[in-house]
Parts: sequence; structure tokens; C-alpha cells
Amino acid sequence: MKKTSGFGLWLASMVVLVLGVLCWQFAAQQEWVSPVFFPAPSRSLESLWEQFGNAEFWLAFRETLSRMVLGFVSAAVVGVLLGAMIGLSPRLRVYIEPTLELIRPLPASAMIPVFVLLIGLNDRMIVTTIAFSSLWPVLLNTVHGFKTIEPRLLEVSRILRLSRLEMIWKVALPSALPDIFAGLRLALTVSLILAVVAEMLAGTVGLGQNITLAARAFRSADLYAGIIVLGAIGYFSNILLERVEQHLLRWRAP
Amino acid sequence: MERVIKGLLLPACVLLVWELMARLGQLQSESLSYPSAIFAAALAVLLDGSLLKAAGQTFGGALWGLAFGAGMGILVGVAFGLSRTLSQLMRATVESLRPIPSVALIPLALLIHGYGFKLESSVVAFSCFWPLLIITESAVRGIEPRLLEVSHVLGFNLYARITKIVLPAALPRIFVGLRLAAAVSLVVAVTVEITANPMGLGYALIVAQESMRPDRVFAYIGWIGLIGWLLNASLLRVQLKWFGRMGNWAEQSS
Amino acid sequence: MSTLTAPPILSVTGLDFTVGSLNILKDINLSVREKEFVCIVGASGCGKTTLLRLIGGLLTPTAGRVQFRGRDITGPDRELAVVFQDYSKALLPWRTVAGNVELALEARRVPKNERADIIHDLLGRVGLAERADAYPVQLSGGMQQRLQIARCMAQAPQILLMDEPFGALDAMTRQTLQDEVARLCAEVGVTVIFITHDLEEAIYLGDRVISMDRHPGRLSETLDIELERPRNQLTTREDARFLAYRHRLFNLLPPGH
Repeated sequence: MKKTSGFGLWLASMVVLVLGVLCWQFAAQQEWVSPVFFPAPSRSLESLWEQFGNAEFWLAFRETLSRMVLGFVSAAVVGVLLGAMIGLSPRLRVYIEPTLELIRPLPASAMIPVFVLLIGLNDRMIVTTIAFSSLWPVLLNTVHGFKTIEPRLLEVSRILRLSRLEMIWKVALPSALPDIFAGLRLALTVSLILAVVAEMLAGTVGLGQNITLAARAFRSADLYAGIIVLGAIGYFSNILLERVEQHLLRWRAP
Repeated sequence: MERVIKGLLLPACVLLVWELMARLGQLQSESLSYPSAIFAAALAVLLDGSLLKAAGQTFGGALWGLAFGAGMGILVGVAFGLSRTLSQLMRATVESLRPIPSVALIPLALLIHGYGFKLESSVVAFSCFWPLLIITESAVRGIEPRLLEVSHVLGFNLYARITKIVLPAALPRIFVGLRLAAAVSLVVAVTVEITANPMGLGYALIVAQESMRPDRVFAYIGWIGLIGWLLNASLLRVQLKWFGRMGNWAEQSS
Repeated sequence: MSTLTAPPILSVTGLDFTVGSLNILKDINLSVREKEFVCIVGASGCGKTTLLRLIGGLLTPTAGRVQFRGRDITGPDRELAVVFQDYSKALLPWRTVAGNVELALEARRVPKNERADIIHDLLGRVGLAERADAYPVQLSGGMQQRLQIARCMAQAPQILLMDEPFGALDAMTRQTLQDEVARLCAEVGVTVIFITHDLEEAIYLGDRVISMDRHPGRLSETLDIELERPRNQLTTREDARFLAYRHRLFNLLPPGH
């Protein structure tokens, strides 16, 4: 009984969404809202459809996505490795944690000018920026995950005489995984945001550049289409990560 | 005390090595500058008023956006929290709007508002809306059911119920949400300034970068970090003072 | 049966344990024979958990020594398995029941092809054979404690150190587990040092019961339990000798216990 009503409500929410879009469509056609600022959804969808057939669009899409993925993956690998090392060593933590706390409040985008000065307005700068900014959520959360391993489990590892490597692989890492994934989810969001921001600044080929140009030329349908694409990237990348997380952490209480 | 010293050791060493390398001519100071120059620049922008002016602009944009976005988020969150049906009906709409990265809306906001305060505060409002919506809804849902029963028995109308029972009970967690949103508002404001808006701390950063003044760039980054830290620290103190241990519990469960 | 002339499997001599200015344990002397089931009884806070952790090598004594088969204990060892009171914290939540037992076999470097049989056997002995693929979070408290015991048995230990293992369980589960542990340890032939604050549990399970004073912790009286095995929850507990032991111990332990 509950399942059908759950599905029913989900369906109803989709209906609400569609109704909302239809109202917007109607309002735009009647020119109750400015067609420049709030173009009819049909126009945005048309633009989207057109762009899908356009090779230039796919180039921009690939560029943005690949930068985001490259930056994210590098940040993830480095962040987990470093985070594990720091988290497992109380001695290292005393020296390093205060510095980490100092860096935490810095807005990621504020570091972009530094990288522009160092590397220039190009692709490498974008990927470096993404990687650098995505590193911190992963690092901080991983340190936390390795710091807060159940002490009882560490005692069990000692009693079983597990080697350090065994302890890390069999006890510490699985224990830290929930925290690591929390960090990865944040990093994913950050990497998309930084990809867009860095592209806007560098003016290189990409989806960020697309929407900036569309706005400048008052091509609002193209602009909305671009926003939809970016939203979709954010949505699906998150879903992907969530699926991986759910699979690896399936032992958690339902 | 020993811990504090150890914690400061790493940053102190980094600064020392950096300074030495620049002085000895090993480092290209056009791109990176060095600590003493950065410190001097930091002092200079404070003393000549440019820091305060820029900070004021950033704060203005951030505050307006926070007030509007968080305010709306709390209102809608209360509504969703009290009415499960409403929340479920709006799910599809929420889930399709939420993944849109706020930076993707910068060109749109630029199109509608042009440069200035509104550009910044509208994007900030969008980013502050979601966390407050989620946290408020969750906080309202989590209110002790007994309290709501009491409000029925006492014959409160909706307005009285919300103001006398729901809001006060949900306040600790909402405050934690506000604290987080405040940090977000600052970051987003600076990001908008970096990408588009010619005002505030972010813009000062870009100007410093474009005029090849890495000392100023780092100086502003330092100030932004410090301001962010001060903001969070003072809000944390307020939280502890008003909500004490309740606030800690709220933070852990959100 | 163990011969009285054989050297003790475990001996504690002149053990002191001080933290800061607090003297937790003073001059502990204990000698345990092989296959013996020794129970240490004391009020809360008397330091019995600390003693167990010292014996298990998880703590280092301030003075005195702990010797296992003549060698000094300098750290934890697989041969001295510890069954903790907070069982859920001692289990790996991300591994199944079988996986948790396998951890001990991996540590012992038991070849892969032999593991399945050992796991199946041990789970059978503790009554968890049917839940081999469940995760700890899906088990009740009693089952989780059984799992911990199975994991400890998989270590092939010579000595089993049990720290109030049934303290967090309800009375019925406690009684069932008491019998299971008694049977299991007799079958496997392992030496047991069992800590509890429950007098009757100590007498019921032990070959020997030692009472412990507190402030600082000190071993006071030893009672040899001359009750026949296997013991029975109803008949043994009504036996006159059982009641006599109970009286003895009750008078030894501080009031308000």
C-alpha cells in the first residue's frame, strides 16, 4: 500500500513540475514575463536540440567534462593517499592539522588568480585549479575518517598481529570509507563549479565559455540550454558517485 | 602550549623557506612574490582603505543574498516540514533545480541585472536557499511530536503554532544552517566578483592579478581567508552562547 | 585434566599499575594452569578490566611481569585472544559474519582453501551457521557476542581473556551464552580468564574464583570450585555448595556491590 502511494506521489510531483513548465511557457508566450530574460521553455529546448546536433557543442562538452574529471580524479587520489597518511599518524597530525584548518575557510575560486599568474590563461591552469580546489574536501574528510577509527578495532588488529599494511587495507580504509565518500561528493560539486568559473575567466572552449557568450549576445534560449546541460552534468555525476558509494557501503544499516 | 608551537612550525618553515628562496633570487617573484612583500601589501591595502571598501561591497552583496535566500529557504522549509504532502509534490521540481551550479547562473543574472549588487546578491540567494531549505525541513520534521500535540491541545492557529512552537524548536539546527550558509554566501559573492562583477574583494583580486601584482593577490587571499574565519568563529560563538550544548547536538545531526 | 606439577601457562608476578598518581593495581600475583577456567570477581572500578588488558599485553605494567609459557608478554598476541564487553565495536561492520571470522584466519595465514571448513565449523559451534552471510548490524546483541567469540576461537588461542562479555546482554541470553561458552571452552581445551562483577556467574563458570578488592586493585581470596561439570543452570545453582560459595564471596566483596 505504501509503495504505490509513494510512486503516486512521485508521479504527482512530476506532474507539478510539468505544470510549472507549462505555466512558464504560457506566460512567456503571452509576454507576461520578458522573453529575453525568461524565454519560453520551448525555445530553450529547441536550442538544446540544435546544440546536440552541433559538433562544436560536443567539443565544448567534452572539454569541460574532461577537465572536471581529470581534476577530480587527481584530487581524489592525492587526497585519499595524503589523508590516510596524515590521519593515521597522530604525530604528523599535530604538525599538519592547524595548517589544514587555516586553509579550510579559503574560497576555492580565490586561488584562481594565483594559478593564472603561475601558469597562464590556459587549459593547464584550469585543470590545476580544479584539482587544487577539489583536493581540500577530500583531504580533510579523509583525515577525519582515518582519525576516527573505532579504537576497539585497532586493538583487535594489534591482538591479531596484523601488519601495518594489513591493518590499513582491512580495517582503516573500510572504516574511513564513509567519510571519504562524503569528501568525494563535496569535491565533485567543487570540481564542476571551478571548471565553469575557470573557463569563464580563461575564455577557453567549454560550456562555461558558451553560456558567457550566450549571455553577452542576449541569446537567452542558448543560455538556458547551457544551464540545463550544466545542471544535468551535476545531477548525473552525483548519481554515479552515489551508486558507487551505495555499492561499497552496502553493509550499513538499511 | 607545546601543541600550538608544533602546529605553527610547518607554516612558519614554509614562510621562511619561501622568503629565503625569493631573496636568493631562486624564485620568480613576478609570479609568486614572497612573504615580507605580501605582508607589506596586506598592510598597505588595509591602511589605504581599499580593503575596507572592497570588503564592504562583498559583505553587502553576500548579506543581501543571504537574507533573501536563507529567508526564503526557511519559509519554504517550514512549509515542507509541516506538510509532507507538499514536500513530496514539489520533489521533482526541487530535484531538478538543486543540481544547477550557482555559478552557471552568473551569466543569467548578468543578463537580467547587469553589473552591480543585484547580480551578486541574486546568485548568493540561489546558493543559500537550498541548504536552508533542506536543514529547516529536516529540523521541522524532527520536532518532538509531543510539542505539536500540545499546540493542538492549546488551540493554536497556524501562525501561532509556527511562531511559538515550530520555529523555536527548530531554531538550533536552523542556526547551524545559517552559519554554514553565511560561509557559502561569502564564497559565492567572491566567486561572482572574480568571474563577472567589478566590485568587492574578488574584483580586487582580479585587478591585482591583471596588474601583475602577486603580492597584492596573496594579500587579498589572506584577507579573504581571515575574514571568512572571523565570520565563522563569531557565528560559532553566538551559536554556543545562545544554544549551548543544544547547538552541538544540532550540528552533529545535520 | 591438567597435572598439578606442570608449570603454569600464565603467571603474573608482583604486578603494579599506576597512572599519574593513581595506583590502580597493586602487587598482583596470579598463576593459571593450562585448561583452567579462572574467574575474577570484583566491584566496578576495582581494576579488573585493567588487569585483563595488562595480561593481554594491551597495557604495559609499571612494575612486575606477566609471563605466558615462561616468556614475558611485551605486547598483544594472537595466542591471547580478548573477548571485549562492547562486542559491536570489536566486529568489522563491513564484513559478513563469515568474513569477520575469516579475519582471524587471514591473520594466521591459514591457506585459503582450508578457511571455509574452519569457518563453517566454528560458526556451527556458536550457533551462527545459518547467518554466515549476514552483516553484524543485522544480528542481535547475543549473536554479535557469539560472533566475537567465534572470531577469537578462530585465532586458535591458548588463552581466552573475557572482559565481562555478557554484561550488556539480557538475563536469558546471558544464561544461554554462559552454557555455550563453558561447553565450547571445554571442547576446544582453551584456558580462560573470565572477568565479571556477577558473583553467581563467576561461581557457575569457574574452576577457581578469585575476588578482587579495589582502591587499589588487589587480589584477595581464592575459592576452588568443586562443582561437577557439565554444570546446569537450575541444579548447580541450587546446590548447597554453590550457595556456600556465594555466601563466602558475598561477604568478601564490599557493601553496595
